[in-house]
Amino acid sequence: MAALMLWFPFSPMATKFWLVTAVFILIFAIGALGLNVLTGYTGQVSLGHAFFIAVGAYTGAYLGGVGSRDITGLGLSAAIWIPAAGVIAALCGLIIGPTALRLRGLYLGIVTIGLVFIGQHIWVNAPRITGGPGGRTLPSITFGSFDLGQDQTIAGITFDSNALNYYLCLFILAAAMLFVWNLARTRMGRAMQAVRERELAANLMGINLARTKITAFVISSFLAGIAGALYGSQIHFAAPNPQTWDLILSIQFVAIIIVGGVGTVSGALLGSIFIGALPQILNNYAGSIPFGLIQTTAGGGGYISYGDAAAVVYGVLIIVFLIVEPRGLVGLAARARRLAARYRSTRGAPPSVPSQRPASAEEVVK
Amino acid sequence: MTVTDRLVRLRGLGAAAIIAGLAACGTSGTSNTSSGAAALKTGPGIDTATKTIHLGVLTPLSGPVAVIGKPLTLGQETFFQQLNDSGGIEGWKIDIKDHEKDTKYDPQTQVQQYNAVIDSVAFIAQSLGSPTTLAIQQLADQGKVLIGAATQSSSWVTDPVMAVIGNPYSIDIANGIDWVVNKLGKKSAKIAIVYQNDEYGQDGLRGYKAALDTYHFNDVGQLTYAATDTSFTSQIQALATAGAEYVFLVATPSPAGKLVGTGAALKYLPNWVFQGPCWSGLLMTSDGSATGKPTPLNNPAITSHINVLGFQAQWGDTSVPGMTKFLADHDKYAPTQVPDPYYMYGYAEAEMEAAVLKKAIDSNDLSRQGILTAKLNTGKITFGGLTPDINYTPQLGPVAEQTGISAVDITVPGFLKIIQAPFLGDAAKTLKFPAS
Repeated sequence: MAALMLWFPFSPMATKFWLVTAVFILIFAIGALGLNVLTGYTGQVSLGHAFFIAVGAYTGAYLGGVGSRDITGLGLSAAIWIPAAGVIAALCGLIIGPTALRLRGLYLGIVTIGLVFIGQHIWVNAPRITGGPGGRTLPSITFGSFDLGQDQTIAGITFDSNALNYYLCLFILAAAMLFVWNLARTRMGRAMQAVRERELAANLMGINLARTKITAFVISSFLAGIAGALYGSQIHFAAPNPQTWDLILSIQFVAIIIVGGVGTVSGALLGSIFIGALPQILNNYAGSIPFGLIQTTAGGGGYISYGDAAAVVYGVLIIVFLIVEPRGLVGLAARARRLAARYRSTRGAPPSVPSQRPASAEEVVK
Repeated sequence: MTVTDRLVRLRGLGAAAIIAGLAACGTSGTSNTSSGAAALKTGPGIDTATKTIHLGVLTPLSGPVAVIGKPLTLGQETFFQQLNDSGGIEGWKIDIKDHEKDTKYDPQTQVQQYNAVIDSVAFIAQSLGSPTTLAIQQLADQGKVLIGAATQSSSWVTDPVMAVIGNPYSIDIANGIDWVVNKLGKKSAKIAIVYQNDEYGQDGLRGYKAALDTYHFNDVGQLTYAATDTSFTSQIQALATAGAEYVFLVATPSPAGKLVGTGAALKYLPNWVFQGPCWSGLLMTSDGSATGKPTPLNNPAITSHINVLGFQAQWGDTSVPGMTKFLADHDKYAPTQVPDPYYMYGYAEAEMEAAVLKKAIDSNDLSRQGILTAKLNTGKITFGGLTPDINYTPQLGPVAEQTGISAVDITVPGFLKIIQAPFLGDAAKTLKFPAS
C-alpha cells in the first residue's frame, strides 16, 4: 500500500485531476485521523471538527499570507505556518476540551456543534485575521525559494506542482499515522480506549479522565489544524461563505471515520479514499447511466444533472455500506483476513489473529 | 509479465516502481504542439488536425446556483454552435461541450475540475462565482490562462487574465442610488441596503458607501444576512422601524424573494431595488416562463414596488441591433430555454471570447501567452447592444460603467421592462479599482 502510494504520481492514471483529488484525500485523511483519536479511540463524539479545520486555515493565511491595507499577513515560510496552524488549533482544543468532562455521547456532540456556529461569527468579525466575510487568499506552500505551487525539477525529473503537494501531504500523513499508531500502544493510548469502553471502570482503575479526554482533544485539534492549513493552501482561499467551514464539513469527517473504521489508524485513510474518490468516479460515469436520464451538458436532454445523480447514488451507497458492514472498510478487511485464516487452518497452517479490532459506530455513541 | 512487474508484485518495492515511473515521466510532459500552417504558434487545447479550439467551462450544473449556471452555459453553447455552423472563426471551430464541468459552486470542486480540464483546453470560457474564481485565480495567473469570469466582482477588473464583460457590482449600486436621488429627484428619501455577507455583498456595499460620500443621501440602515438564512423577519422589522423608502438589495433570487415576501406579509412595502443577481423569472412563475403557474410575489401590488439594476438589453427589444439575431439563434439552438438574463449574458460572454480568439488567430499565436496578449489588445468589442460595448487594453480597469433600470412587467418576455436607459452617475466615477 505504502509503495503504491509513493508510486501513484508516476502511474498512468495520475492525471492532474486525479493528483489534485489525491491531495485532497490525503488532507482529509490527516484531519480524519485527528477525529479518530478523539471519537474512535477515546469515544468522545465531536461535530466541531470543522471549527479546528478553519482555525488551521486562518492561522496558515495569517502567518503565511501576504498582507494588504486591511488584512495582516506575515509572509512566513511554510515550515513555520504549517506546524503553527496545528499548535494554534491545539490550543483551541485545550480550551474546549474541559466541556467533555461533564458531557457525554450525543450531548457532547450537540455542544461541539455550537463551536461551528461561534466560529462563523468570529470568521466574519475578525477581518484583520480572516479577511471578514469576503475571505482572504492563502499562499501556495513555499519553503524559502522552493515553491510547491510551481512545477519543479529535482535531479533532472520534472515534478508537477500537484505531485509535490501530494508528496508533502503523504509525508505528513505518514508521520501522523505513525504517531497515532504508537500512541494507541502507550499508557495514554490505552487509557483513551479504556475511557471509550466504560468511563466509570476506567476511573476506578486510576485513569485520570480529565487529563485523558483533554489530551485527546488537543491531539485531535492539532491534526485538524494541520489539515486546515493544507486545505486552505490548496484552494488558495479561506472564507466563511459559501459555507466552507460548516456542519457539513464536520459530518464529512465523521462519515470518513465511520466508513473507514472507527478507532483504527488505517480507517481514516481508507475512509478518505472512499469518501473522496467515490463522488469523482461517480461524476465521471454518471453520464453513462442509460435511457437518457442524465443531463451531461447544460443544453443536453435528461431529467437530472450528472452531479445530482452522483450525489444520490453516493448517499445510497453509504447507507447500504453501513447496513452491510457497520465496522467500516477496516472491518471488511478483518472479515477477509478471518476468511483467509479459516481457509488456511483447514489446511493445517496456524491462523493469524487480527491485530486491531475496529469499534462500530454504535458502540462509540453508546 | 516482465521482470520489473514481478519485482513490484513480489516485494512491493516502491523504488522499482518509481524508476519505472520516472522513465514514463520523461516521455510525457512535452505538449502536442505540432507546427501548423504559416508557423502558427499553438498551445494546449488547440487541435490543428481538425482545426478545433477546445475551451473549458467551470460552472454549477447541480445545486442551488445551477439556476444561474445552466442558462449561462447554454447561452455560450448557443453562440459557439451558431458560430461553428456559419464557418467558425476563419475555419476554426470552437468546442466547449467536451470540457463542461460541474463545480457545484464549491471552491474545492472548482480546483479539482480546473485541474481536470486545464491541460486540454486553450482557456476557461466560463468560471462562475466569486469564491470559486478566487480559488483558481492564482493557478490561472501562474499558467497565464485566460478566464472568462462570469462574476461581476470589482476585484477582477485589474487582473490581466480575467476577461470580464458588464459592470462591477459596486458601479451598479452607485448608479442605482444616483437614479433615486437625481433622476427621480428624491433627495431626502430614506434609503437602506441589505447585502449578503460575503465578497459579493461587500462589493455592493462599496458602491453604496461611495454614493453616500457623493450624494449625502439619508442613509437609514446597512443590514446584512447570511446566504443560508431562511428567516428575514428581523431585517424587515429593522427596515420598517427605520421607515426605509428605497431598499437596495444585494442578494440572490431565493433570499430576495423571501425578503420581499416577508415584507409584504408584514404590510411593509418599500421600493425594492434589486442588484442584477437578485432577479430570476422564477420569482414570478413556477418555471420562469410566461405560461408557468404564478407565484405569490406575482401580484401587481408587489411587483410595482420592484426595480432591477442591470446593463443588458431588454429581452425581445428589437430596436437593439443584435437582438434579432440573438432571438433567432435562441429559437434555433435552445428553444426550450425561457427568456433569462443569464442566457443572454452567456451568449455575450461567448461573443467576447470569439473576438479575443479572432485577434489571436490574426496574430498567428494561439499559445496561452498569445491568447492573453490578444485579449489585452483586442480593443473595442461590440455586442450589438445586448450588453454594453467593452474595451480591452493593457491598462485594464472596469470595461463598462452604465447601468439601466428595469421595472417588473409581467406582459413582456423575461418580465423586465427597461424604464431608464443606461447612464453613468457621479458616484460611480469616484470608485477606484486598485490592482489587487
